[in-house]
Amino acid sequence: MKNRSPEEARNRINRLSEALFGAPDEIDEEEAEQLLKDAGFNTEALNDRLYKRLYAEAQQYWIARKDLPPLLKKALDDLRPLSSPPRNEAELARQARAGVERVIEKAKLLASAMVPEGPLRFAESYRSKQGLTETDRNKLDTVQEQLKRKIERLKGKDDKGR
Amino acid sequence: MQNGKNGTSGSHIEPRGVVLSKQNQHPDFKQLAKRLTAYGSVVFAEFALGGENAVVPGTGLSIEDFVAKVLLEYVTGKIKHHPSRGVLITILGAAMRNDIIDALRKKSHEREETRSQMLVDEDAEIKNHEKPALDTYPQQAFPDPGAILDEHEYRERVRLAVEDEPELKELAEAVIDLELYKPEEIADAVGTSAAEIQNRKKKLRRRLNKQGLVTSRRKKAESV
Repeated sequence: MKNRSPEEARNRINRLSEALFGAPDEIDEEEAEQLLKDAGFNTEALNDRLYKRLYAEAQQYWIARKDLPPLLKKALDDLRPLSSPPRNEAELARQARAGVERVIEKAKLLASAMVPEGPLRFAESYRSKQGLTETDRNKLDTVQEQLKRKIERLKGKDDKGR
Repeated sequence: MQNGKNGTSGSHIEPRGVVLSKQNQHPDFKQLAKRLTAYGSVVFAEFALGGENAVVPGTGLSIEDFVAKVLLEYVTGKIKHHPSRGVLITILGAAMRNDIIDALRKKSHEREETRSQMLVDEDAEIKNHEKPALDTYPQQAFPDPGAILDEHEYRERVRLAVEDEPELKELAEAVIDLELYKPEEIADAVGTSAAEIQNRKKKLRRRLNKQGLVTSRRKKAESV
């Protein structure tokens, strides 16, 4: 086998790797999410930790009373955890939106757990109950119909949300 | 690593680079961090390391450490990016990959004197341990960094990793045996389209990320 310098050896392996597994730009955001999920990464926690590292770097600039490099500033803005106190109205709006989205997600989960999966069936034993007038029956039918429509609507929304 | 300028980074998959904000042409760092970490996870798996908590043996450096390093170098101007050099994710990914390989290589030099003892230990482990299966990945025993950076060993590990999957085996053979590197060349040799080759690469990445490339010594021991 040829005696190769470490750089040559590394470049050869890199070349094989790119031909087999692809270059970094071949992994789009969707695939990245899947790969991270498969490998057991928590991306939110990862972002928080990256933010802390960048923040520590930013502190060096603040201590030295220097302006932050624009890219560092942008990175801090992008990775800023949602749990941090908002610094302006845009951040407040972003956090509020994320908060509302979380509540909606929870409500959807709750609704999907409560709404029956199969076709709807209502108890109709009241029809044979004595003492009910035709008007009473009509009212009960109307309530049943309204309830049915409401549940169907909820189910429809839930299906769209999935 | 090819940096997209003269490498095999063709134009088969969209979107390619990291999305830049229109306002000031700065990247979306959340997306950049996510894609770099995913690429780091694939690179770690290539060298038989895997999972969120995996580290380069003897250094304690994780994927996250390597991602943070290149991001810091980029935001503080130590790594400069100009579009003529290729897309940003490729520049940073290549820098990160080289950092990972350098860390592994450094450890392999440090271990050289004790390597024979390590091989003895690994043999003992393979004998004593009931056949370590692929599903024990990612937290399998430390790989041998020396063997990991050996090109012949690398080719063998790839071969072993795809032997049960005909489509991936075709891809691996075209690259390893015929030394074809561009998707178009591989596609011609295999008798399919370049887009299909990109699909196979994607499939291979996912498989690699889940299972890793296991050292051939270990794989042989598993098959006994």
